[in-house]
Amino acid sequence: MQDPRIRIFVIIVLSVAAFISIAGAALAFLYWICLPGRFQCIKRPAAVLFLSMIIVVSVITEVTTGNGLSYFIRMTVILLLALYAYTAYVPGEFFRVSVWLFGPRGFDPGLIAEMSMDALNDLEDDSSKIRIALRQKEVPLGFHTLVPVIGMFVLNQIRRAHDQADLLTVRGYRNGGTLCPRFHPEILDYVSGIVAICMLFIAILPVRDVFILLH
Amino acid sequence: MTLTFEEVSYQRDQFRFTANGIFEEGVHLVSGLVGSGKSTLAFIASGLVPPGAGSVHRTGIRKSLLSMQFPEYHTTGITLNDEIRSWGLDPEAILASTRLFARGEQDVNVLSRGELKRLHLGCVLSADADLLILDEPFSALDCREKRVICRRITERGYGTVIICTHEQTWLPPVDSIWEMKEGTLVSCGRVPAAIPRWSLAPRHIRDLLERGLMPGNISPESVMEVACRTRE
Repeated sequence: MQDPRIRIFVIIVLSVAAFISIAGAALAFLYWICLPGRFQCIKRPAAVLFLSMIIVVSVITEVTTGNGLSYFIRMTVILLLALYAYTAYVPGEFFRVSVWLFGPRGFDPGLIAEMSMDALNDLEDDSSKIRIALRQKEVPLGFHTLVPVIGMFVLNQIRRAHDQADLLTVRGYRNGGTLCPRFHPEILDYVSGIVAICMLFIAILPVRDVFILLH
Repeated sequence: MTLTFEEVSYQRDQFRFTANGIFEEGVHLVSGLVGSGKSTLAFIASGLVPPGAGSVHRTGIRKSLLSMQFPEYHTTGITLNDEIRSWGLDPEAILASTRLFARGEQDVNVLSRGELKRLHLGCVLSADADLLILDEPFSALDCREKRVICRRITERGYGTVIICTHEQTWLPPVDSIWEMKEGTLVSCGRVPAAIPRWSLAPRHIRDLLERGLMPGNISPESVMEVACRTRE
């Protein structure tokens, strides 16, 4: 999908569909299977971390209130969609989409979104470098190393935020700005959007009703 | 002891890295512009990142160590003493060699980046590794510290040291020069024959070459020696 507006819209619609019902999750999963670069996005270390969290919460849900399996399936599909959205993201997209959506008022939220994505990228980069350092020292990640490692993450983020603030000040930024976003949607983008909306409707309608309608 | 890159390639987004060559025992300079692929070479050479294609062979290399550009990434100790011990080294000796006397119980985070880099390089250069890969070892250091690091690399006297840097002045005497050109590793050969082939040679060396003067090596001392030589 070339057009970020349609890609973000599709991700939101499919996430809602997956959250609403198992049928929606199954359809969203089918959609995800057809996306280019789908398997690249699950190779990220963050995927394992988030999947582990979903498993833990699902087990707790199953033990306490039931429906843990349903929760696991729905949240895993949402995670896959989120990972795809993160991998497919091109710097500047949120900025452009925000200004297109909200006009001049969208400038600051777009800027914040871009900075947040930068911070996420930096965190991912930092974590891979730290893993290398630990491996070289043959030191396992434990309680003793956790404090300096987390400290490094926090300090690095503060340093970068400080540098970014300096940069914005030097460039004369106070608030707002001008941006003229341009998009080049293709036919396939529109088709993808329509298919996602159809999937959301099927997820909202109980499956039984769909078969009644078909009859 | 050799490190061989055999038809190695690595792709990341639009960037493509390719390398072919043999790093023998001694000190190697890998020179290149920012973004040319020096860090990628360092990671692949250390064995921490597998190449996309081709292979990296290590002969006689028992232990390798990569020093990343930013010393913060290597920090796993709370105090300076903890950090030095995490490298399996004696804190007293390292604090003395890096001139951070009596600061062993201080928090690592109170050090400036330059001080942290000094401490980090002090540990790395004292570690028992026969393949040492230094990615931008001179960044965040002042001229005096750069000179100290050059001296320590020279004094090491064993194993293979690969220095990936865009530093132009403070360099130790090296055995071979390599260049990274838009993601491709190019060998200039052994020093001193490599010096005229070094396209990214610093201005002061190119000036000497244009005047028909050939330095014996690339260190400031070697360059000074030939620049100040009186004609007989």
